[in-house]
Amino acid sequence: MRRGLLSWSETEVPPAVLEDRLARLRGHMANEGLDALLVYTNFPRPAAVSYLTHFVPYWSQGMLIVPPDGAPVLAVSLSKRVSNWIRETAHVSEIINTPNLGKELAANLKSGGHIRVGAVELNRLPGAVINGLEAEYPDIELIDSTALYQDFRATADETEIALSRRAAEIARTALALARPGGAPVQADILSAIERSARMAGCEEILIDVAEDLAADGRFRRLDGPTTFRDRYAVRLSVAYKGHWVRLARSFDQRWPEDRAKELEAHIASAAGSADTSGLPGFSTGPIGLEACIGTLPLQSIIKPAAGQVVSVNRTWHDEGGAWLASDPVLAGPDGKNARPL
Amino acid sequence: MNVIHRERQERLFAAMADEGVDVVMSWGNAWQCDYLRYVSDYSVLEGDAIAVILIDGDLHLIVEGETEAGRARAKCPGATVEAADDLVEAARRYLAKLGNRQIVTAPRTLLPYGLAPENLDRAAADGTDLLDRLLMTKSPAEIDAMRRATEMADAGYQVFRDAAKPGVAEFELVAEIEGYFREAGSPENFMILGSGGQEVRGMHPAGERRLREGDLVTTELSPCVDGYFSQICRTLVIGEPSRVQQDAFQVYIDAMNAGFSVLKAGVTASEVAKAENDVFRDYGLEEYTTSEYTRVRGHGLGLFLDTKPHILEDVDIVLEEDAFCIVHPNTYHPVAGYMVLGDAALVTKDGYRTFSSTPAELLSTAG
Repeated sequence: MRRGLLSWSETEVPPAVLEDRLARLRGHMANEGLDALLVYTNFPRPAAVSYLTHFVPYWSQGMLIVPPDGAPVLAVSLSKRVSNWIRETAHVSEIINTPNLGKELAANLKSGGHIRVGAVELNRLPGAVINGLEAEYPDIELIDSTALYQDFRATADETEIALSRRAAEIARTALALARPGGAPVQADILSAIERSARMAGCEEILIDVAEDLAADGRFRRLDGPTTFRDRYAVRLSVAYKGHWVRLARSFDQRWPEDRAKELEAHIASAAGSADTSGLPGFSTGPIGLEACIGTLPLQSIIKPAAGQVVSVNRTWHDEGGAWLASDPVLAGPDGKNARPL
Repeated sequence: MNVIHRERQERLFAAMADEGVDVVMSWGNAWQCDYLRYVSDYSVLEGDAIAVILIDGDLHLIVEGETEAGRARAKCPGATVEAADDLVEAARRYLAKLGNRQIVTAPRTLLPYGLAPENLDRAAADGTDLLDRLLMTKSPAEIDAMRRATEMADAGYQVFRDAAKPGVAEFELVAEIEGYFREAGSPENFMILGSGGQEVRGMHPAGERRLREGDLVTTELSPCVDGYFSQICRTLVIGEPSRVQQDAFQVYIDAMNAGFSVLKAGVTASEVAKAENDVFRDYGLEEYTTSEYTRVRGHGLGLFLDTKPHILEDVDIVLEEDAFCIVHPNTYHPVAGYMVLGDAALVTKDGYRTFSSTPAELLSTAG
């Protein structure tokens, strides 16, 4: 819950881009015969509403009601005094402030005559909200629209690519601070990483560490003081204006600089394609892919879609232990032949 | 297992036995994970998560995706960890394996639609009250963590005070604080702030506004130690405070003191809130105690930074001995702008104990 900068630049995210996304979403809604679509937002699941309106909540929860035409309505469980801040940081016209989301959703949908209503990730929405909605509006027909939203969301537009690229730049600059220097790397370097990313204007940075890759090749959440051993890895998950990327690198404090550079060059060139994941002297482990396809900023995917922003998580092994790397890439037109962001 | 979680488990299993409960299923997410952490010692960093704990100690964690599963496996080596694309279906499958055991779920406000008791295809009772009782009253190890978190909040505020200078942007100020808390070992912090003058109506996440001479800079810092959040609220003037700012702030000092003057084991949240609000009424500022201008007059602290009870005049929850809460009469002042003041305190039999050492006054960068 460490939020950094939350602000809206109309230069970086023009209103026309958000309106274009909304129009495309409405096309998908029309194909499914929906009267309206509900899109949920809260602290851990801000991505879908952020993609449509630039709104990122720092507290509580909300639901975007997307009617077939006219302006969407943002219903939030935040008091009225927060509405000015919402208008400053997001592209929304009507805001409903309510402690009872279900009841307000029912009133809005009923007054619009919307019966066949889609909901993104229906089963995962708060029961208190949806049961409240159904109790107030028994005639409503709720439809799980998770797949509809995923189809709509797959291909990145130029704005998403630019913001993801900026997030990747912030992450790269910060992660460079984790490289071994003259002295052994200690935990205070993580403080410098945090400062670097936030001074560059990131919205959020999550730091995971694998302090001793010889003993344990898994990242864990950084939740207190730590000591790095000879071979270690740091993973940063960085958000910039609602767009998240993951970047991870492993380091070995015993290696000469040219060995580290050689390996880094291989990792960078391998980032774009599963077919070139080999690393000299290492055996290849599993590859994980993540992308933003719903309300979560990043979630697992099986296969990239054409033109999708994807974070690729890789593992290799040698006799010294695991070697971990993550890179954000832009998938090619065929979902393959990605290029690093 | 660490001491703090061993204490939690002893209390949880005793409460389950008392109420004839075999299984607790708790839900949490990256915003609120107090119920989840209480039963599992796990705080989720991304997405939502479910912990299912049996009275014999068997723990099953269901999280969203392999990234979070890796974190969960590293943190909870004794648990079985399941990475699920569909958390709800995974939980339903797991519950089906538990036969006819007595199951409770919590918290009712967070449970997803697909797992709400009325939407399950098996019986499950609401266990929110059972866990609330455990969450509100702190064990000795929990109190020690809260004390350390309060000391960390004090130290963080000093960093804030040193960094707040004309020309510094709000987000740069946050970067300094978060950098400090990371260095100090706090895995989480909730922080909002406001800057400006009479026009400022509240606090919010950092923006790009740069501080100016004469600004009131309000903040609440909420660092966390071993999962336990404390909080400090203070108002800082950039430069010398004006007479108007000083006079306005006296209301907040009086209101916080009034709240603390009634705080002790056995009082209700309502009584504390009324004591604070009466001060505003005496100053002719009753309007500014309403939801139009403020949210709560304080709240519980613990594994979540905004836990029960909310200090409001219509909340009759009794504050028990060893509860932990913050008293903060934060609100808008029509002459000076939004101001905040608050300290966290342990509720004792005869009163309260605060671990904060930051002066409870209008602070200034001028000294």
